[in-house]
Amino acid sequence: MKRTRKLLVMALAIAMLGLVPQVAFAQGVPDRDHPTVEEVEHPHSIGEAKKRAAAAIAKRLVALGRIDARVKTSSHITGAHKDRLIGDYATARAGLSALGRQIQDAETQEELRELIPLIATDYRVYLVILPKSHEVLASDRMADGVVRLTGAADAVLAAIERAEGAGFNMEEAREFLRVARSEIDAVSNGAVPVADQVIGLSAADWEEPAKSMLEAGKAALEQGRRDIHEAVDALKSAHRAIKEAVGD
Amino acid sequence: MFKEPPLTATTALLVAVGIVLVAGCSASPTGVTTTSTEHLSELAQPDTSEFPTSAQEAAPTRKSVAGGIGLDGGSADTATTMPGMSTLGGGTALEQREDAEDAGDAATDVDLTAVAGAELDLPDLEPLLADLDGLLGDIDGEINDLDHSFDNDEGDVEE
Repeated sequence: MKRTRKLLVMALAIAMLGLVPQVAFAQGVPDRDHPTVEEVEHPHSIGEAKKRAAAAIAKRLVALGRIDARVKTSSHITGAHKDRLIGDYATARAGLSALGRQIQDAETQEELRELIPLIATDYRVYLVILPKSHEVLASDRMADGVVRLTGAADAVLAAIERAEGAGFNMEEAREFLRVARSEIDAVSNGAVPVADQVIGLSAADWEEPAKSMLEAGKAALEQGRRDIHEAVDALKSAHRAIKEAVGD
Repeated sequence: MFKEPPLTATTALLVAVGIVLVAGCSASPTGVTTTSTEHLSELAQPDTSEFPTSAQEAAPTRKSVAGGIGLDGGSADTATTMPGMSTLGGGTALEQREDAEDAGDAATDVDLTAVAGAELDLPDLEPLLADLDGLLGDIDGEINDLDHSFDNDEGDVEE
């Protein structure tokens, strides 16, 4: 009986010694001399993880390259906004490239578990950089639109005044012009400021306040689009009213 | 009995002349000569319903006013010689000349409306407004790209 007990204790001790490497893995201590069970059982998993990380980084670098080119060739974005965004892209690209090298140099699953999530969390290319870039582009485009709409409204006003000078009743045309100017003002006060409101957002601002600000900016820009459509419609209606009044 | 026929003839002649004068004046004012200034003074009485207010001065309806002033045959100098025309303005030659000039201005205004109509044909506004259609297209494109960027988180959350 005693002999049997001794044998059981020895078996238990041997079994516990066999678990040591797994315990070390569970504690997150990398040890090249004692590979984890996962590394032993899945020798290609680290390689696969690195490959997926490289693809994720490459995809972001491509997206950053595209938006960078878009911003650089935009004729409507302001110089200050352009410089700021291009700076953001350069920083993100440099950071992602450095992170990619770190990931490729990593030798353990644990290192990879720490590094790979940073591809998303340190840069937020898709959640912050791209949406804010498109909001800045749209907002500056609307600022340019306000200038063009104001010029068109002034031209319509000049035509109205000429027609009134010739004795024609321009009340209807003036009313349409008033509507157009009101819509233009709404764009100026709502959509145009969005660029300055969101351009400073960074990955560190995710999830709040970045998420709320980007959503509010998007809503303001969509409203701005509707306002601009209505302003253009009103200017065209004013033009029609002028032509009808003078019998043209 | 013997003198009755000449009296009748004279009366008939006077009546005929009267009819001709009345008919001539009412049917064609422009045909009246300076010898008919008494009738002209009546014709030249301004029709206040047609006379423009300051706000209406340049209105196309001034054509009727200009037409009335055209009773003088279109000559401002002739108009100054017509006492009846004084009802349109002052009685002095200067005032009448000013009236005539106003009449000319009114006629010019009418012409200007035609010019304004041509100008308000708005060849300048058409391309301007067409350009705004391009603006709408550009803005629609920007907003569509923005929508797409919101739909495309590409694993920023999951990774």
